[in-house]
Amino acid sequence: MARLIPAFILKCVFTNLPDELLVEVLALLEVAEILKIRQVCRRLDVCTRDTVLWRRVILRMARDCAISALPSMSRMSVEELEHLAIRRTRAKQRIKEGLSRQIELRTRQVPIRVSSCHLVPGGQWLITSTWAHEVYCWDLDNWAMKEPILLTQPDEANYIEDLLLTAIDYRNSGRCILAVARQRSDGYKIELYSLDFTQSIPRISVLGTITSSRVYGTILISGSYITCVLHSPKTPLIESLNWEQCISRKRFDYTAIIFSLPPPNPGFLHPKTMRSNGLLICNTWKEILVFKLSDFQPVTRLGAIDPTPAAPYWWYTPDDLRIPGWPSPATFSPSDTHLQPSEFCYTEYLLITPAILWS
Amino acid sequence: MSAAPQVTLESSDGEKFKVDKEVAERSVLIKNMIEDVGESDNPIPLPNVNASVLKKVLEYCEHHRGDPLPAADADPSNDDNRKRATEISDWDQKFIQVDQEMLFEIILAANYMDIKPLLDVGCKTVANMIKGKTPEEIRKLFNIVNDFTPEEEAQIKKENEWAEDR
Repeated sequence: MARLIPAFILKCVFTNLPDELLVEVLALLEVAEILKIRQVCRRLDVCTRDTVLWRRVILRMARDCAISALPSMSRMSVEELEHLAIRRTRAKQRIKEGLSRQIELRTRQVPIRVSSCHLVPGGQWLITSTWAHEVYCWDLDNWAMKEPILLTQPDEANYIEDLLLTAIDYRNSGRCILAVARQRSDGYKIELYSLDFTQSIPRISVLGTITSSRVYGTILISGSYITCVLHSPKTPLIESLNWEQCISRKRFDYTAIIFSLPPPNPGFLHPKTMRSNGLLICNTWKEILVFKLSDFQPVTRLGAIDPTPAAPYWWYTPDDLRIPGWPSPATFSPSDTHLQPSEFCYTEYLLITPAILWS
Repeated sequence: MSAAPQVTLESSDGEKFKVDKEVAERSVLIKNMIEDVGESDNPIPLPNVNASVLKKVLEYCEHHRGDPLPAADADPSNDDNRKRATEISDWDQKFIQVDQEMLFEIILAANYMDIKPLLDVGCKTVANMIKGKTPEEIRKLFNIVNDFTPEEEAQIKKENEWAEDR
């Protein structure tokens, strides 16, 4: 029975499966599990360094959190792909840790008057602006101990009465783009900074300044876009600007595309959240509006839902709009598997409001 | 009225299985072979699958004979239509409760015979076995020898430290 001999030698065990089938199995695992498999033996170590595997893991992660825009993966090396998957997982972990800091946040009295604040994705750093027109960065890991780091100097010449900043995790790189909008008498100015959080002390560098002659509104930043909703009671306007293009072309003249809202005119627009998939959520005194801003295409009005009278308007979360794929407040917890890096706006929104930091 | 058309499959160890054509065609490999060769009374040889595994695979095909076929040209990276994560239906779960050797044989056969849903069930089962285990437990589970030098092992462990305390 000669044909039985090879079958005996090649007894069918896990590590005898061909590479493509091992990858098929590994692609079903979470990132941390894949990294554990790597420690089992050489054969499996090699299998976890496979382009196809990491592409599939990233696609699955993207699908689970409904991220529409993915960096182009076809030219990425296996190390880059792995890095991308790991960064997303770690950011998710850090947000979970950040959520448990809630109580601690409420306890510190700060000696400055905070005008706005933003939790940087990851939950360790909190950026605040003050009525004295400075921008500070707080290390929440040493919240009780450390003094905040001053990021920008007051700009007496270029403000009228407001200062706004906002932050995102730039391409999962550990860097944030910080946009500080200052109001001037003849329009507004947005200063763009890059903040590197991969070091023990955040490092700030200037990217450029964008100025506009229009009257200042509320500015949100998400993905590649800075979106400004202009408070004009009669004709609200939405300006959208691709800051990435500005940086790559080193041209900071303001060439925003302006969308005027389709009728009926909603009146005063208060923007709440902008997501990296290009959804902008605003509310008026009567209703909540969702707009889709993509690649300078005209605004699409997705829907409007009347807020319940019981809740103040600023407590509306994306969930109130019942948009599929967003977590509902009832199920939202640190262990929520839906909580993804793309939910930063939502997270910081739940975590902290300026009122908590008022002294 | 004629009976449902049947085909004969022959395992690597020479055993013949007569099954309905519809059942055999759950395997894309066999479906293509029948299309290429045309109807014939000759048994279809499956030199990579032995009788015990083929019997098991045909049991699966028989149970799932009425299922809609997955799109042949579906992009493998965009496996939206696959069941989420590692869910397996009750019947499939009972079906796949076999010893490890048979499990891997089924995976190999499903891959060779191109039966995507069965391959998925097999892979998900293995993934579920791995989940939540330490590297040492995985070695024990699959009888794998740790072939790293102590230095290499320490290095890899260090690189992936953050993933440990989840």
